[in-house]
Amino acid sequence: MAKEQEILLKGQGLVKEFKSGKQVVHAVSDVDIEIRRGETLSLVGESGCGKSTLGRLLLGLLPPTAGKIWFEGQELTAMDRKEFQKIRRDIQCIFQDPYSSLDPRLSVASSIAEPLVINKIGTKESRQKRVEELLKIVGIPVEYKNRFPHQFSGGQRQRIGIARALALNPKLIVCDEPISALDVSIQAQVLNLLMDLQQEMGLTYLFISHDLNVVRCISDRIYIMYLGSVCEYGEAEAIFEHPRHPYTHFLLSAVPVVDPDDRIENKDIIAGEIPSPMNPPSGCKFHTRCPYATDICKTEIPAFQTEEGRCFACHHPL
Amino acid sequence: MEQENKITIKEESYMASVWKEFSKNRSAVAGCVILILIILLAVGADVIAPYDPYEQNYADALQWPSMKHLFGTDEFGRDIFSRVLYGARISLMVGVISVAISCVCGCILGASAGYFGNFYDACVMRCMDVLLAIPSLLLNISIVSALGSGVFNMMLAVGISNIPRYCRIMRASVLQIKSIEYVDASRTAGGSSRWIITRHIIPNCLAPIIVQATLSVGSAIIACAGLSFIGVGISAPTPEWGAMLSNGRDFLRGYSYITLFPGLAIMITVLALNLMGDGLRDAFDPKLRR
Repeated sequence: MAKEQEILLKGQGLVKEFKSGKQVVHAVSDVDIEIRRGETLSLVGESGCGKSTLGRLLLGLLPPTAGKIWFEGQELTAMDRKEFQKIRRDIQCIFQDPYSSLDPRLSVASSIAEPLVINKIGTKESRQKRVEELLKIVGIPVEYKNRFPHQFSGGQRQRIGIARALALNPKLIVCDEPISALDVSIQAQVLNLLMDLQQEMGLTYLFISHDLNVVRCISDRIYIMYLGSVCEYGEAEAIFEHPRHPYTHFLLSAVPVVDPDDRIENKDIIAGEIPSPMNPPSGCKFHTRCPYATDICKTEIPAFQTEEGRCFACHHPL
Repeated sequence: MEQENKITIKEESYMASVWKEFSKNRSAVAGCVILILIILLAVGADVIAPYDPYEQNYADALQWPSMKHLFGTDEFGRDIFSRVLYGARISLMVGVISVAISCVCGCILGASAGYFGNFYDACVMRCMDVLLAIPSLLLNISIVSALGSGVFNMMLAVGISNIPRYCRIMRASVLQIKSIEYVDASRTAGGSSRWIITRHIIPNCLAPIIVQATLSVGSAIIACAGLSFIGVGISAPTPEWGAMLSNGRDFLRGYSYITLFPGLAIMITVLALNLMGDGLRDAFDPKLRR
């Protein structure tokens, strides 16, 4: 399938630094990323590893400190605002917290229609039609369209957020932990909705999550991030079956097992805390917590090696 | 299909739903009615007032309230009822316009400072600190004496000295709201800074501003009275509630009614404004709707 291999969005050498007083927080350091059309790409890592920041860079919500982003071959980072505004319609976002992603003062219909109004698409009547259509797609009764967000449950609000993201017919949707604030029973519903929508509309997802069970279910490929850098990426199944980077290994082994009989005693648990992004370790960033670390890890940044559908950056792969 | 049609008929705009909510709030409607009444009295002062508010009549000076003089007379024998009626014109105008000046300027400055941050924010807020550092009466006097006395300059002075309050309230709310995800959502949809500030940030910051604005109409009237008292505001014979209050001060012990009635007028106006302001705040916030 040649079409699946087509690259929709590409980021190269992406760096994002935040100034905090005199110190600099290295939120994202030198990340290359490729998203292929029609796939679900997951971005996984501990909280604070920069996955959301990377998502916001790709969305254009934050300007990168360095690096370039291409979308369908056009360089976003070199565009002026007007050109970027046109491309922006194709990249939409579903946010983490359904309680704060909808303006409490806007009715559901106004929230969903907002992207259409901003981009001056259609007339008042045609927008209303589109809103009703979108509500039907996400399974919210059309008669609720004049209600306000506080009258809905978390799951319903997230559906409304999805409807808003779909309003402009985007090609890529960045899902920033879209289900982590929801009840488990609702999570499955929302995930199924997302998967159905992908099939029907040919959407591409960048799925940011720390829930590895979910990621395994839905992803075509995954990127594992640690402290602002990607440490391993590739086909989801290959990585889940046999992780090569020690961090990936620890991350996967930390997933709780449902069956108590299957529980492994003394399983590998990652030691220590994630180092401060203000002062990241030299060499391989994981060396402070890695049991396999040697002197070379402290001094030399490992290069990516390719193997069986995945790439990893480690001096001592598993 | 039929059901859908019904739904579209029931559809109402945001402002219509705000009005519906507002009209359900009894105390707010009461405030609104009182305010309209005061405005009507002020407009119809020519017809209603039994005496000329400027006419001095020493034979009737310092009369306690009676049927002849409903609110009594002051030391020049002027009818206080007539003066209160005519005073409403100037006092209401002065109170509302000076609050409007400070509210609009303060909101724009505060919202932009909070939204854009960085150097611009620092500049605006240091200017506000300078304004706050000067006692407001002193600031008023210096602005009026720089611009020259007169009703408009007085309103301007009172307005300017109150800008920092609104600016700070607005900035604090904006700082909180601009990091909420719906602002990002609007930006990913392509919303410009102006769109986001006017559609999302200002409407969501309005509640404390409305309360502050309705509360400070009263203090603006008093501040203007203070300026009139020291002779840089409204000149002496013009009836104005604040000026009447300060004039009556000398007679407070023997003839308390001279201050009582203009004071009551200010109080009722402020009360009406507050009731209305509370109602507006609730009506604008869908979360508080039943």
